[in-house]
Amino acid sequence: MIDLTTPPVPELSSDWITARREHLVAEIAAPHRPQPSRRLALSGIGAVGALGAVTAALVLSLAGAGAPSAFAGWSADPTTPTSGQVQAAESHCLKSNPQLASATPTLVDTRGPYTVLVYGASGPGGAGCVMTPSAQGLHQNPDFPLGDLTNATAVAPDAIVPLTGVLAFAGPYAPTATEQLTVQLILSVGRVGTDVTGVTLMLADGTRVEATVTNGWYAAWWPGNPSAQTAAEITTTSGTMTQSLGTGASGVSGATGTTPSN
Amino acid sequence: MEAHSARDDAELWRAADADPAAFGELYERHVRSVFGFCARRTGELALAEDLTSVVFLEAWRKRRSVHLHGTSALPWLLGTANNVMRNQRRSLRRHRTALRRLSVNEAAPNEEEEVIARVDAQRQLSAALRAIDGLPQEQQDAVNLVLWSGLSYEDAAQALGVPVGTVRSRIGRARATLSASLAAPLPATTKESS
Repeated sequence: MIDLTTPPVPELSSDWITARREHLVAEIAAPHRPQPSRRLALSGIGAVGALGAVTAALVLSLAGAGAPSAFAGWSADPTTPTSGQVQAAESHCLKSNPQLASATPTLVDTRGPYTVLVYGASGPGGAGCVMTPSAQGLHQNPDFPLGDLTNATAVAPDAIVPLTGVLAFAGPYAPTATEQLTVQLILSVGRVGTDVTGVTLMLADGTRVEATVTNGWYAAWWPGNPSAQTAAEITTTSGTMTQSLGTGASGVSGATGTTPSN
Repeated sequence: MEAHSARDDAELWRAADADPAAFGELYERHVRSVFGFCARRTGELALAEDLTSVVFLEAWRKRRSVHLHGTSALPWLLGTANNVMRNQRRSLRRHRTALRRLSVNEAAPNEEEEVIARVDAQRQLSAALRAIDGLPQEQQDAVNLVLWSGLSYEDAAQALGVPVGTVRSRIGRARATLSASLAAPLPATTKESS
């Protein structure tokens, strides 16, 4: 007889539940868990094509970021990459953007399981791509040119020039009609003067994010609220300066001046 | 097994961010219901176990953005389970590494009696699924949530993100369809006055 009475389901044993519970708590309590997660790649190849040449490409590879919460394991300070972390990101980025095949990253920024690769050269135009684990459920802006780099070539020795387009992407991610998840990250990348040895970005909410500075470039990013960067503490060979940064609709519009702090 | 606290689901949910053990308590409180829902939806016990874990991993992932309606997390969990199964392949892929860790060292059923019970349950589940297979998916979802999982119409409406009247009408249409096809009266439930 077929009817709508509840079909029986085997009872889960207490041992099974206890074991799974313990594993689950351990899983979620871990700061981050590297995993070869599938990444959604959105490359700036289209934008590059329109500009005619690749002058800079920025790749944010959240390689191995399989943490249960968005950007778990992120660090305000750059971290030492784990064995193979950078190579894995490079490999993935090259697959996403074949035009980078012969390029070598000019900057590598790692924060926990996340890796940022900047392929840079001076000149106008720029393009980038962002990769993020699908597990984070992010909808991404498919077009995010890095901005005009022309003015970056004239950066003062003790200053920085953020690119005009701060990369940001956000939800909403709405898996059901009753909930909505919004996740956002903001990426700041730009050129540094010849005397600059360190950059710390100061956000409106008081957070200090130390950037990676290499080969005339800096890069840093932060998750969560779109706290615009308000200033940069710049370390040079002769001391520390504070450079105020204007904020625009996208969070940053470029350098507006320098103010010595010591 | 640990003793349950006196905290309701909403309190555990809010505490979970700073205290993962609170999330573990939520898990223990609702894992049977979620597993039952998944098993009755898929008809496959091993798959249902994995999907159950996915539901809780999703719950953890969304803990900061979700605010429970009422004091029970079960409607939200079953609603999430419903969505997880609609996107089963993607959901399993998203959490595949975590699933491997969760099931590590897990013993397969090895007692003959237990194996036979699972096979028998599998058969009954398959029969139950065949019975409602001809119904539109939204009616199957309503049947699973209300008639099989014991949610109230209000909680099922919350889980599905539809008005209560919609759940009632879906159950009604499912009953009518199956009654006609079977030419036999269907059992009433305690959830609905007859």
